[in-house]
Parts: sequence; structure tokens; C-alpha cells
Amino acid sequence: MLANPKRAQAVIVTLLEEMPVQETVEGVAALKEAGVRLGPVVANQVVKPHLDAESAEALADLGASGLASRAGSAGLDLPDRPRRGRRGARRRPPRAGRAADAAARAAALDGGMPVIDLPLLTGATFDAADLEILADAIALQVGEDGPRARGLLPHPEEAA
Amino acid sequence: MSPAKKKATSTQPASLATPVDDAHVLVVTGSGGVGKTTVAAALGLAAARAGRRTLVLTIDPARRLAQAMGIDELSDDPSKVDADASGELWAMMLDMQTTFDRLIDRHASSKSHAKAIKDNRIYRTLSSTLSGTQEYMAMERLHELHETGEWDLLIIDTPPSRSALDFLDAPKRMTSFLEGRLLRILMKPGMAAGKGVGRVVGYGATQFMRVASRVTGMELLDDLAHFFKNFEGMYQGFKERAEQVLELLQDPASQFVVVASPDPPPLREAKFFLERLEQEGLHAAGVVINRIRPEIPDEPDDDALTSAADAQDDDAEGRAVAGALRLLHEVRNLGHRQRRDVSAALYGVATSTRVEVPLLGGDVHDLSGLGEIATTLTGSSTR
Repeated sequence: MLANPKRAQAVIVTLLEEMPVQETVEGVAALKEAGVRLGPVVANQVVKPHLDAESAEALADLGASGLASRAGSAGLDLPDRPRRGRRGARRRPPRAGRAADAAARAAALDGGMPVIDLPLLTGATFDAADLEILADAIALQVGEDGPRARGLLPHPEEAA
Repeated sequence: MSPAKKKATSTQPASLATPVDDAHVLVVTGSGGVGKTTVAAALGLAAARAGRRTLVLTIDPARRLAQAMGIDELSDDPSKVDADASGELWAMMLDMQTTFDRLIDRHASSKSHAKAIKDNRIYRTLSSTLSGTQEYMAMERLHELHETGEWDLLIIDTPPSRSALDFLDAPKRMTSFLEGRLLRILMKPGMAAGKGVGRVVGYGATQFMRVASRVTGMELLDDLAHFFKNFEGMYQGFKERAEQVLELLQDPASQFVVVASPDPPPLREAKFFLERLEQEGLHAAGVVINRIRPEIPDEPDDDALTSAADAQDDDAEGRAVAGALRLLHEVRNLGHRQRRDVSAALYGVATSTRVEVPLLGGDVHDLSGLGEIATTLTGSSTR
């Protein structure tokens, strides 16, 4: 039954991180060999970058104190230096690096495999409304309407 | 000892410094993909820094981690890691088949007896497919290394089993499978009428069918007969060995480090595992919550962040500030959600030590990356 393309297809879900992507690449090969029909690969928890290259550079130039003073002008009271070591870790530009890494890894997903992105949802909880957003994200990427997921996908141009 | 250790009970953040300094065996466990191997390697580095001769035994053929430790390829023989430490860090990868073969060598009555078993196709299939074998072999190898007396600390990274709980059952499963009684029942199903055997047969027979299905043809019966004949007389040795392995794991100097990512399923598994350890009289060193997002102060609140971000100009600098503020908002939300999930999942768990390892900017690819995690795990900025 599982090898019958009319009845079953495999959808592999991955994170855009080293180990899961590696396992996905291996899984795709193994399933192909076993004659199982493959559906799209779903990349879960995809981060939408908040900074383009230009603004990332601008942020680096601003530094923590520049950011704090700009935020101050907008009425925010941010400490202008990292508190303890922990905040320091955040101040390094991790997400930008991650996103670039992730893009490279996504490319490793055997050319031609359609990839559906599910956005990383950052609400304080995860509930039924979030599921609807994810359903809309899939809908958008298979050419249907998905109003609740607009603006959440990292590559809006790909959304039909 | 280190100041961090002395203060561990007061206001210092939780730390694994004590087990790193004092334990003889650390078993690193958790569901798949939570970073067990990385945590095991980082603990090894921490112990080497604390002056101990440490061996990290991994099951995972993570080549990149091997490279991170400056080793081209891990093998069944320990390789020394060129770490800047007063102690020593060695690493090796478990080769299951080799370990199983050695076990046969040890218990077989002669070399030809051992060879007869190792050449048997039933053995080759069984040794790689019997559920729990990999788990058991990891423990077996651990015991071998312990017996050499060469190591202050042995750190073992448990197999990426579907359930982290599998390997706790492995020694028992191994002995119950290998009990002569069971094998005799399989050989002569007619004898299975005796009382009290039904439940053993249930498990064994399933495994047996799985093995049998892979070896087909007339030779099967031949192989089968030889296999059982050759195994006769080895059960007792196997059983004693499995008991020794269990004893080693039950020793207070053997402790378990449970790793979870800050997501509900691995956290639930961690909780089950911790409860199970308690029931079995095994010792937990602590829980590592791996790759958690940072804790960010509640002020300024979400609305303030959002309106300040919206108020920025649409030039590079404005977008930079707005992007940073939105990022702060998101990461804070995620950090809150993860901490709530951790508290909820581990509520009522009687484990004193819970260490958080922050999400780093990228994967760990070198010793300095491992060193950073080692420092977090042992709370050793003062070391």
C-alpha cells in the first residue's frame, strides 16, 4: 500500500538545520529507492529575516548604544549595554547567520524537490489559531488563498 | 575545588560542575535531535579542563562533531583530542558489530566455537536487528572501558533510539532473550505449553519472526540449529555480564544527564525518563535544556516595542532599528513560551539541577564552540 503512488505519498518534514536536513536528504534517497511516491518537503519553523543586507549593515554600524538611543527617541527605554553575558549572546547577529545557513541547506535538498515553508510562529502560546495560520501558509504555497499567513513567509514572491 | 562547585547550592545558576568533577560514568540521554552528542562532547571537554582523563563514547557518526574535535574520523579505538586542558579528552565511536563479536569471543568455549557463531547468518542478522541490541552494546562497551581502569570519566552518548527509554530496558531484554528456556521454546514450540512462559514467548517470537523473515531458504533451518547449538552454554555468561553492566549503571558514581530541547515532546520524554531513573534507583545528574532562547526583560512591553518599530523611517537605519525591535519582541515571546513549556513539563520532577544552554548563532563546528557550551554546563566563568 505504501509503495502504491495512487494511495500513498510521503511528506517529509524538516527543520532548516544541519542534522534534520541531512536526514531529509538521506530519507528522500531511501524512500525513492523503496519506490515510495514523494510529496513536497515541508520546512518547518522557517524564520523570516527582519533585516535586509543594507539594514543589517546599518544595525552593525549603530551598535548597541546607537540602537538604544534611536529606540529612546521613539520612546523606548532600552539598556544601552548588554546585561550580563546572556544578552551579549543575543547581540551577535545569530539569526542572520542562521538564515543564510538555512538557505544553503535548503539548497542541499535535492534540486527539484518542491519545498513548502511553514513560518516560525512567535506568539507567546501555540494554539488552534496558529494551526489555521499554518494551514493558510500551505494553502498560499499550493496556489490557494491563505489570508492569515500573508506576510509571514520568507519568500513572498513564491506565494502564488 | 572550584568556587562554582561550592556555591552550587546557593545562588549560583544550576551547573553540572559536580558530576563533571566527581562522576565516573555520565550517560547522556534524551530524544533524537536534541543535541545529546554535542552535550556529551562538551561535558567531556569540561572534565578534561578540570584535569580528568576523559573518554567520550559516541554512537552517532557525526562527522562534523569529530571534525570539531580535530579528529578526521572516529573509530572503535579512542583518539586523543588536542584540547587545551590540564586533563585529557579522548573520543571514540561505538562499532556495534565489533563489540558484539568481542562479547562472543569472551563467552565462547574456544576460538572455533566463536567463529562458528560469528559466521552464522542468524547471528549476523540477529546482532544487528534485535531490538535493544545497539543500546545494550553501548552499555557493554562502556563496561569494557570501565574495566580497563584507564579512565577517570567515561561519557556515553546513548543511541538515537526512538524512545530514550529503550536502553534502560536493554540489559534485561538481552538476558531474557538469551535465556536458554526461551530459545528452547522457539526450537520446540510444542513445549511451550508450560505455565508462565507465554509472556516471554510473545516478545521473543516476534523478534524471531523478524529475523527469520530475512533469512529464507532451506539453509535457514541448518543455520538455526547450529546457532542454538553453539549458543548453548553461553547464556549464563551473557546473563552475568548483563548483570554486571546493570550494577555499573546503578553505582552512585554513574549518573545520567537528560537532554531536552525546549519543546513539549522532548520535555515530556525527559520527564518520563527522570521518573523512570528514580524508580530504577539510578542517579540523575541533571537536566540540560538545550538551545533555549534567551530570557529578555518584560520592559518595554510588546505594544511599546511594536509602536516604536512602526514609527521608524523607511531608510536603512530606520529599517535596522525597526527590525531589531521586532526581533526582540519575537525572541522574547519565544523565550517566554519555551520557559513556560519547560516549567510545565518538569513540574514535580525531583531533579535538583536544571541547566539551560542558550541557542547559539550556528552549529558547533570547533572546539571553541564546544568550549562555550562546556562553560555554560559547568557554570564555570569563575573556574
